[in-house]
Amino acid sequence: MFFKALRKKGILGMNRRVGDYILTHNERKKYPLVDNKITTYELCKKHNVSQPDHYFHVTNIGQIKKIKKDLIQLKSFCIKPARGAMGNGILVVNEVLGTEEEPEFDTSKGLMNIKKLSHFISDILSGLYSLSGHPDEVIIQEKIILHPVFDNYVYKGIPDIRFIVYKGYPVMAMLRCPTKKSQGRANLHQGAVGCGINIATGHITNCIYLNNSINTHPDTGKELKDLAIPYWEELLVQASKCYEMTQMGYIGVDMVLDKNKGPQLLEINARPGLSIQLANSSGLIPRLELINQQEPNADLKSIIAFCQSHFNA
Amino acid sequence: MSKIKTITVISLILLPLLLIYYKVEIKKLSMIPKSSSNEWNIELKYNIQDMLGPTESTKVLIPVIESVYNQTVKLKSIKPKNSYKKIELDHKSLISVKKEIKKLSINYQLKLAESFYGQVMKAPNHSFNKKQYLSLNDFDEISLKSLRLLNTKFNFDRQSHLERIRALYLYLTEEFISTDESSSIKDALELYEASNFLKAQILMVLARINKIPARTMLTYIIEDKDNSYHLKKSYVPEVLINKKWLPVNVNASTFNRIAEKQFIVNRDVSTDFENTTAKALHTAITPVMINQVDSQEYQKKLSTVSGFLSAISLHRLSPTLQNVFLTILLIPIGTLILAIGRNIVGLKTFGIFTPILLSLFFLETSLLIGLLFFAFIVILGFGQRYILDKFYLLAVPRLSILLTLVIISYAFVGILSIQDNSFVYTGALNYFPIVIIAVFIERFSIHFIEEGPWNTFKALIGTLVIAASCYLVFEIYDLKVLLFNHPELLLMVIAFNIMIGSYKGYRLSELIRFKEFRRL
Repeated sequence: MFFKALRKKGILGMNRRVGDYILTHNERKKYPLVDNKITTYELCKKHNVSQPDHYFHVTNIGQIKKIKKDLIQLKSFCIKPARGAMGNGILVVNEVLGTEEEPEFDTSKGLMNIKKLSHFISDILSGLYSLSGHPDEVIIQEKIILHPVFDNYVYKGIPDIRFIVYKGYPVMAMLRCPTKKSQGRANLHQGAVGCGINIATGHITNCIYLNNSINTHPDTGKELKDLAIPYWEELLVQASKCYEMTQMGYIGVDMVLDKNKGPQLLEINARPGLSIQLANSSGLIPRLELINQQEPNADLKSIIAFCQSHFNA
Repeated sequence: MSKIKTITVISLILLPLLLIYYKVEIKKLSMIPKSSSNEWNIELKYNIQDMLGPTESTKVLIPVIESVYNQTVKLKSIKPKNSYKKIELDHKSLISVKKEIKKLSINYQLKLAESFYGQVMKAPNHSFNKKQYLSLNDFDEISLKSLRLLNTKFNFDRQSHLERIRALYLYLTEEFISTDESSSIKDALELYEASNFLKAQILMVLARINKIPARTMLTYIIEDKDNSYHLKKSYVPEVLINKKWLPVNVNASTFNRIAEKQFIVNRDVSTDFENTTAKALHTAITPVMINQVDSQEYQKKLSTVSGFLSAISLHRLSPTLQNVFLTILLIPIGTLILAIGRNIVGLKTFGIFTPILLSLFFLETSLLIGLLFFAFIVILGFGQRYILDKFYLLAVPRLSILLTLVIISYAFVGILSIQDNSFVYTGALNYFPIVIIAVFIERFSIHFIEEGPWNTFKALIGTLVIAASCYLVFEIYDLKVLLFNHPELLLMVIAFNIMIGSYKGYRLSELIRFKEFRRL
C-alpha cells in the first residue's frame, strides 16, 4: 500500500513511537525529572553527568527587581525557562555593557536594557514558554562557549548533538547546526541543519536542511561531511548514563561540546522527535528491535561497544 | 491487540447493535423516528375466508393501496411470505391469495400531505370502460325508481355535470343524518338518514342516472381516541368530470378533496364489498413519528412497549433540555473525527478539543457568520502580537486585552443582528460562542509564541478542517435523531476510539514528512 516503502526502511512513525516506545518505556510519573531542567540539573549532579552550571534561579516576579545586581557581575550568561520546549524562550547574553546604574546586555536578540530583559524573564515566569502554559521558573545558566571544531559550521548559536537512547543504548545520533534561518536555534523544523552521525566513529554521514539533502552548510558553505565530532566516546557514555539516571527507556538526549569543559548535557527529552531518521537517512525500527533482543542490564562498556559495532554507518 | 482489548471492543460494538435490534425489530420502535406527524404505519389484516362471498372462486383478489391524491404509499411487507402473488395491471396492482390461506396481513407506510381546496386532481392515465361506471344493473328496481324520482325534482336539464354534482353533494350533506345502521335506499330517502356507505351509494347512483361516470372509494379516517389511533371506515364517491376524477366527500363534508387524515384503500368497491371485504378487514395503525414536539407521544408509546426503556429515555427531558442533548450527544462523534484527523491523517490542531468547540461555535452561529467572525479573531490574534509586543505586558493581562477586544467586536455583531434584513441570526448570540472563542484565542496565542507563524498557520488549517468536518457531520439531522433515540450508540464510539488509539501504523502526513525515504 502507500506505506510499503516506509515500512521497508523501518521508519518509526508518530503513532508507533508513542504506542510502542514512549507509553511502554517512559513512566508518566518520571516526566517531571526531564521536563523541569532544574530537577534534571540536580539529578545530573548526583549521577556525575556534567552540565553547564546554574548561577541562580528566579522563581517569582518579585525577585526580578533584585537580580540586576547579580546579573551585572556575570560576564556572560544564558536565560532559560525551566520547563521550556524546542529551544523557545532561551536568551543568550554574550556581554554585559553600560554602567552599573543602566546596564545594557548584548544578547542573541540584540541589545537589551534591564527593562526589556526583566520583561523577558517575567514572560518566562508567567508560563509563556513552558510546555503546558503553567507558571514557570527561570534558570540563569553558564553560557556555553563554542568548541573550535564547529567554527564555520554554525551561523550563530551552539550546535547540539541529539542521541536517541533506548534502554541505555545510544541507537542513533545527529548533530544540529543552527543557521541564519533558525536564528541560532538548533531545531530542525525551525531551519537548523541536521547531520546524521556514524555511531562508531562520530563522523558525519548525511545532512538535511529544510527536508532536503545537502552537503555544505547553507550559510558558510563549509563541507559538512569533513566534520568528525571530538570526545565521541565520552559523548556516548554520557548519553547512555541518562537512562540510568532517569529510568526512562526511550529518551532524546541533547549534548553540547564546550570549548573548555567538553561534553555537557543540555537537556533530556521524553518525547524525542522523528526527524533524526531523515538526517541519518535510515529508520529507527531495525535498531530498536536489535536492542530488544539484547540482555538487559549490560554494563556501560559493553553497551557502547555493541552500539559502535552495530550502528557503523 | 490484546485479548481483553479485543473483547472490550467487540462487546462495545455488539451491545448497542443488539439493543437497537431489540428495540427496532422486536419492540417495533422506529430506528430514526421522523419529525413528520402525518406519516403512518398501517397494517391491514384480511380474513380470507370471509372474503370468498357467494361465488365459489378459488382465490381472492385484494387491491394494493396506491399513491393517489395526497397520499404517498410504500408497501413494506406481506405476511405470510410466499402465500400470495402480486398481479400488476396497467392501472392498478392486486394481490391474489388462494382461499386456503386463512389470514393475510399487509404492511404499508403511508405519508399524507396536507390536502387543500381546489387541488388539481390527475385523471387516470389508463383507459377504462366508461360504461362500467355508468351501469345501474347492480341496483334493485325499487331503489332506482325512487332515486330517478328524486333526480327529477332537481330540474337538472340545463345544468352542467359539475353543477349537478355540487347540488347533489349539498343535498346529501345538508339534508341527511348519518346513522350506523344500513337500510335500503328507499327507506333512507324517506327518513332522510343513511349510513356512511349508503350516502356514497346514493350519490354514485344519482350521478350515473345523470350519465356521469361514478364509483365509490373505500377510505379510512385516522382518529385519535383514548391516547391511541383508530381507523374509521368512510366511503367517498368519485365522479368523472372533464376527464378528471373528483372526490365528492359526502361523509367528511369536503366537496373536492380528501380530508387531512384520510386515506384511500380501494378506489372502486363493488356493491357486495360492504358485506364481504370490509367485514373481513381488520386494521391497525401507528404513527411513524416523533420530534421534539411529539416527544410526549413517543414517550407514551415507549411506556407501553417497555417500562425500562421509557425510564431511561431522553424523551423524558423538557423540550429545552432535549434540544441541548440533541447537540451534546454529537460531541463524541466529533471526538472520533478528531481522533481520525490527528492520529490517522496527522493533522495538527490547537489544543485537543478546540476544533470540536469551534464546530459547536459554527453550529451556534451558522457557518458563514462563524467563519467570518473566526477569521476576524485570527487576524486579531496575529495583529495583537505586533502591537502589544511594544508595550511589554505580562502574559495574562495581554490575553485579557485580547479577550476584551473580542467582546467588543462581538457587541458589534450584536448591533449588526438587529438591523433590518440582517444576515446575522439573533438567536446565535449568547454566552456559549464567546466561551469557545476565549478558549480558542488562548490556545492560539500560546501556539503562536511557541511555534511561530508558519506552524500556527498549519495548526490553524488542521483545526479548521476538523471543525468544518465536524460541523458537516453535526448538521445531519437524522444522525442527531438517531443518537438521541439510541444513545447507547456512543459505546461504539468508545470502541472505535480504542481501535484508533491502538493504531500504530503510519499517519498519512508521514508520507509527506518522510517522502525522502519513498524516493530512495
